[in-house]
Amino acid sequence: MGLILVLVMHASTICFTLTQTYDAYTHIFFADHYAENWFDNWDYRWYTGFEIISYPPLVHQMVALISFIFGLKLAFYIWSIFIVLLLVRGMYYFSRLWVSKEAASIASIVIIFTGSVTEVVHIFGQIPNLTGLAFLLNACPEIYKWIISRSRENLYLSVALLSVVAAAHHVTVIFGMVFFIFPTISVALIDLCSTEKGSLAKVTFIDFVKKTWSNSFRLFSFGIAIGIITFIIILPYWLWTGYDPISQVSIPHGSRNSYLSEPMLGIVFFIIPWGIMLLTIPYIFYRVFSKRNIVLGISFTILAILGTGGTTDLPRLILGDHAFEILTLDRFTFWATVIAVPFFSELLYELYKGEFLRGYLKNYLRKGILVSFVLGLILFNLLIVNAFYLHDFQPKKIDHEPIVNFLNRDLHSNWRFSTLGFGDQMAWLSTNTNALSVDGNYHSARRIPEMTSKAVERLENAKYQGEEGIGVLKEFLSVPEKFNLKFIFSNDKFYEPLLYFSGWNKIQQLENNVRVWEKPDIQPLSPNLPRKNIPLYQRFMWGVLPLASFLIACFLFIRKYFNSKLNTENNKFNNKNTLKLYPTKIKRIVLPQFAWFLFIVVTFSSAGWAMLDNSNDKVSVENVLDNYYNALDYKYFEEAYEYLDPESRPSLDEFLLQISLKDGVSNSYANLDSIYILEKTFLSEDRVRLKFIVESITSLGKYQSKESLEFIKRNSIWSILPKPVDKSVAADQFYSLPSLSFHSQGRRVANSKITRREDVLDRPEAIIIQASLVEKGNSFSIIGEIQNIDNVPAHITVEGILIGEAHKTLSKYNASDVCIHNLLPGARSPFKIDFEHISKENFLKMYKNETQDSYKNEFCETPINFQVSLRTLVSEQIRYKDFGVKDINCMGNKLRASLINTGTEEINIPQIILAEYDSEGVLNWVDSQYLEKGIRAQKESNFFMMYEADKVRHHLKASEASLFVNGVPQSELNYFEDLNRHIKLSGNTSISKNGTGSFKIFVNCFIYDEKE
Amino acid sequence: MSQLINKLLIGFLVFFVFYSCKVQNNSAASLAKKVDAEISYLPRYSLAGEKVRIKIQSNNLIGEDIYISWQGKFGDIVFKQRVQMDAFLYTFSKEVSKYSGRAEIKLIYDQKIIASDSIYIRALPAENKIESYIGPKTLAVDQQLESMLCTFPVDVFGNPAEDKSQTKFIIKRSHQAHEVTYNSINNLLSYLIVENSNQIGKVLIGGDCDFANIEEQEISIVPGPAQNTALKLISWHPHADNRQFIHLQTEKIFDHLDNAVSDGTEIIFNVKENDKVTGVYKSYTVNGIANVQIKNPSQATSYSISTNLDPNEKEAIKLTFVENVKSIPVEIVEGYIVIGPVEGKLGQLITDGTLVEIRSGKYKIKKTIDTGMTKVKIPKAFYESKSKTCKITIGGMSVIKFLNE
Repeated sequence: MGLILVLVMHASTICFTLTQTYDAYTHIFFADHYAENWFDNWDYRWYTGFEIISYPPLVHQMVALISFIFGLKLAFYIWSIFIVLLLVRGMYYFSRLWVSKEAASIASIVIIFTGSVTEVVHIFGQIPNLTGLAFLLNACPEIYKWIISRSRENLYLSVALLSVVAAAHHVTVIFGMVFFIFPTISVALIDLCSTEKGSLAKVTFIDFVKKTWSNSFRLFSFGIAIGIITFIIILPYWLWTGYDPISQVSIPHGSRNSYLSEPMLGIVFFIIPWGIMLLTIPYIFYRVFSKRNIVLGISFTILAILGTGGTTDLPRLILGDHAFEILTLDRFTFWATVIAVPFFSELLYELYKGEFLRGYLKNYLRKGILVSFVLGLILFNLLIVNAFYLHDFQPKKIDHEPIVNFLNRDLHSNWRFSTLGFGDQMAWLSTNTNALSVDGNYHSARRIPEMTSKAVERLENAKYQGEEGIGVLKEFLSVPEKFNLKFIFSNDKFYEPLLYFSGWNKIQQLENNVRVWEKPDIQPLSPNLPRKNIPLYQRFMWGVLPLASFLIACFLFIRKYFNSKLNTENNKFNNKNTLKLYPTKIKRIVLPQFAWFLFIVVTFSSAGWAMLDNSNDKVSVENVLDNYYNALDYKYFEEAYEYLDPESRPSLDEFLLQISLKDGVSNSYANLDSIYILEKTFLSEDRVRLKFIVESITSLGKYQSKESLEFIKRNSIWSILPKPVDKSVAADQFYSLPSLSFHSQGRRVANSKITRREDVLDRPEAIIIQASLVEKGNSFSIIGEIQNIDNVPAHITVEGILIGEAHKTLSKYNASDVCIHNLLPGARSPFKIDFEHISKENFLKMYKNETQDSYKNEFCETPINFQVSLRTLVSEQIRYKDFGVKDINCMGNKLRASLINTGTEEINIPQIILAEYDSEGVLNWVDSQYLEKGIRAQKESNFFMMYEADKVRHHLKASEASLFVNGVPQSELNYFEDLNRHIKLSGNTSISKNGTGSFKIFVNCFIYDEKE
Repeated sequence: MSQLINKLLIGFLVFFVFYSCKVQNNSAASLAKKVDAEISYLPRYSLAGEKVRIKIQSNNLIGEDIYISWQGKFGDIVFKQRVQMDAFLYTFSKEVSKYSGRAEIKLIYDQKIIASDSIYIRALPAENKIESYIGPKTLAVDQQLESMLCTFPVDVFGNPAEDKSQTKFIIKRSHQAHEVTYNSINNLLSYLIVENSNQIGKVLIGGDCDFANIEEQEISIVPGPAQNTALKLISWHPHADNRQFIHLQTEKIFDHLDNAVSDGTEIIFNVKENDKVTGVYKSYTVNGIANVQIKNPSQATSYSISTNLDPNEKEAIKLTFVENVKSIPVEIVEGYIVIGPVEGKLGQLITDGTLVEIRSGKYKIKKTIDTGMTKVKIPKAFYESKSKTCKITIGGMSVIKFLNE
């Protein structure tokens, strides 16, 4: 019946859920590796190459084998279903160790509906974990029978099954030995004592110790054998952990947080796995702490405590800091629930039979509880399976075909790519292409310093990692040449401002609405990429032993089956493992169990009610403020509207219209981070003004905006007085502007040959007008100014190099967002390249495997010189130029002005770059600012910036010898009749700064073109 | 004992093998005979791909195998030949002689060269497409640069054309007649220097050598930096209505050789009020002309607008804006300052969104006009000011109102 229910419950739904899970695609990617190169230990497709031996291979190899007939996805489904079936069998025989045959039968059904198993299969997609557990549960009864009967057949089968566990999931074998096998051995020894003494009641602790001692050689040999086999089966993995240990900064995981302060995590990592069993915790404790099950009870308790994550300090104390930071703790809850299943099932059986509870519960109540439990199990399970319809765990399904086609054509796969906003589907994309990604979805294997030194899981979902995530993404986008990264596929417009301001060009929108961004001037990948090799014998072992262990286990299992021992083995279990042993004690548990039941029901009902009831939302201005901004952040505009004063708010339609007209970095490209109240002024008893700072995470960094709102109290409820809206009307109803476009089509014909040299255009002429090394605070920057002096638009890349003693390169980095990367003929841009000073120890730790010349913006020694290198490439992209700055007003150290959009497009994110010069025209400082709001056509927006030049200390001014243009010293640009003529053209546009030097304002505008 | 026997046996075997070899060498040396040979009939030159025939005159080699080696620039090709008679002819196939250059022919017997001679294989006339390289592809008229075209004519076998062969180049500059130049091949290549000129446009280059031609090559001669230009006022509204725009256009902008500047050349427009820069606008040229929309001021003032091409502002345009507001009616009604309807110079209601500044002492309130009106509740602070008045400013025009009126 269990097997049928598996097919009904999991097999029918797995096709819909598995690809939405977190890990399924990653395991399919690994399987694809084995399908293509079974014995290869290296995969180039992620992280500039990584060791495939960093994850035990059995599941991936099995899926790869099945995929030769059914394809990868179907193979993964088939293996998953097989494993759930195996789990059902394992749970039955595992339960037989602890509970009666009837309860074990129920357990084999209950496991199908257990929240933790459903979550692991349908939400997490951790099939190797489940594989390990399924084989472990099947191994435990064999160990028990071997100890009881000394049958070699059981011994061999148990060893074979445990070797499969090792081949499938290394963590399960390590912890499984402690939490599952020790209790199994102990119960077998107790049963041996019990048999000898005639009853369990007569067994004492001394008996148990004596029995253990008498069996110690056997058990010790068994342990050693398991250790050796586990070591050999995945030897390359263990060796890899030795020569290339995981030394990266720990990646935050929700299971390490406090579930009380973050209730959503509590739901995911605690409530869902426990499910309905949470109601029966006292009973489970009561049963696992019976004399016979005492070791299991200890295991269960430790697992349950570890599973509470960061809610208390206990898990950290038990595991130690290092293990706590690298392990995901939800797995402990998972194992605890698996241990709980037999006893929960026993309770269900007792509720059904009522043998012992008859005296305490009326029949109808007993049956009612039973029905509630069963319905609860089923409904809870259905809820988890359908969780994807209730909450988006992943971005919407992306059709990968257009991306794969893009990568396959025109030699695009000669460069690396990365994805943004794909979620775990990025692994599926990698599976379907041979193009290489700089990102990956298995962070334990990566060794790129930019990634390992930060607590960032993937570039792809950088926005969920806060400022640190965005910082890492910025590094990759600023120096893509280090990784031969040329293409970014963006499925989330959140990242597009960062791509734009870092000098990436949007080149195409694919049929699946994914936008392709390209960085010009990136070298293609070398045909011979570096890789790590392991000895041939290890590759052979890795390719053969895991699969062999599985085949041997199957053979032994089938052999045992045909020996007909399977049918009679039930007799070998001790039948005295039921409630019958404790008839008088059961009454002790009824009251605590009932109290617990009430406690859970009341707690969760109140919490649920508190979540659903929003009447408290408006009792204070702080609540109203928080809820209003949260609603806006989640785009629940109708909910946000409810927080506006009903008497003065506009109609809902008008409100929605006003919202739709708002744009800018904080309105359309930000996630709300926090709100700080600066000042609360009571204008009257029922009127309050709040001044506050809204902090948002944008792809351009953390963005703070100062806001002010007035609140009014009516009928004890606070609401927001709506701000007046801009009612100004643009000047022209209809107008036209001449425009210009460029197209670089080369001379290619439709064939697949490598770019012909006739296609290659001359690099545009450009010049570095000036450059200096300056220090502000504790950080160094190279600032300067460049100009395109050619007749075609130029894409520019500015590279700054800090040089230490003996001409040693200390640091090398590119100008990122403080630079305009596409310059029209004659146009100028200032630039600033920031460098971060870190300790020598950290520097050596981070960059131990890097060559001196590789890109890095950290340095540890004092720079004594610097170089600036400018590279140009013909660009066909024109940045938006229809803007102006007016009402420029200098007051003290403050600049005030207005930016006007004189063109036909809406400027979504305007960036102001302020270049300050001294009275001699030497550049002193460059700073930039993103304006908060977008500017519609013919509208304007005020801004102000502070002069910072007086806080800057000048170190060095660049000599001609340290400036390079397109690889040639700038001094060789001596073939112009009058180079100064070019420079003067743009030079006379500086604005006087009240007699203390001058400044120039540069504007860079991001336009999100939805029409594409 | 058995081990000793084994060792003795092995020692004997080693000795036997060593001795046998030595004896064989001595006997071969004693049998060596005096042989010689000669190559004749070999021409000094031949064309690539032609069969080459030689006569071999030998002595004491009948019945022996000799090796005939052809050593060209791509290495040796060796043929084995059994000598049947003292003199015989040998022909090298076309495949052997297809590569141009000097080839050495050697006769080898018993690992010794017994005769040798050489022949020079000449390339055939060049055929098919000539490989060519050109650069730089763009020359600006203000650059003292030349472009160079290199060609590598080859024959049907890929042999470079012979030195002294002539390559004919034809250059077509924009608005000029064809220029024909002949250059001979030297060290495998011929080249052409294309000089810069004052005339912008494409320079197309063709060429041939024997029966081979180059693909059309192209150089662009592009304009130099822009020179000063005059500004044209296309449209404007002379009132200080900061909703409106001034549309300016440059005259066609040329470089110092009167070529229209390239499309996309950035032009910066500076707006000065009272000799102070208060506005900067950017635009770019299309067909040598740049357009710009400059916003009107919000209060009466004068603009002087010039471009970055005109540092001395000789061509600056000066515009004077008069006040846009005709009158500011203000009333104090039940603790509110009611402003409006505010009329513009044309008798119209001034536009929605126009900024209204109400100041009393150091306190200031900013509001905007909606349908010609605005209404402000008088704050307590206004009453606390000494003057008990407020100053209302719209579009640079101000009125003062007593609060207790």
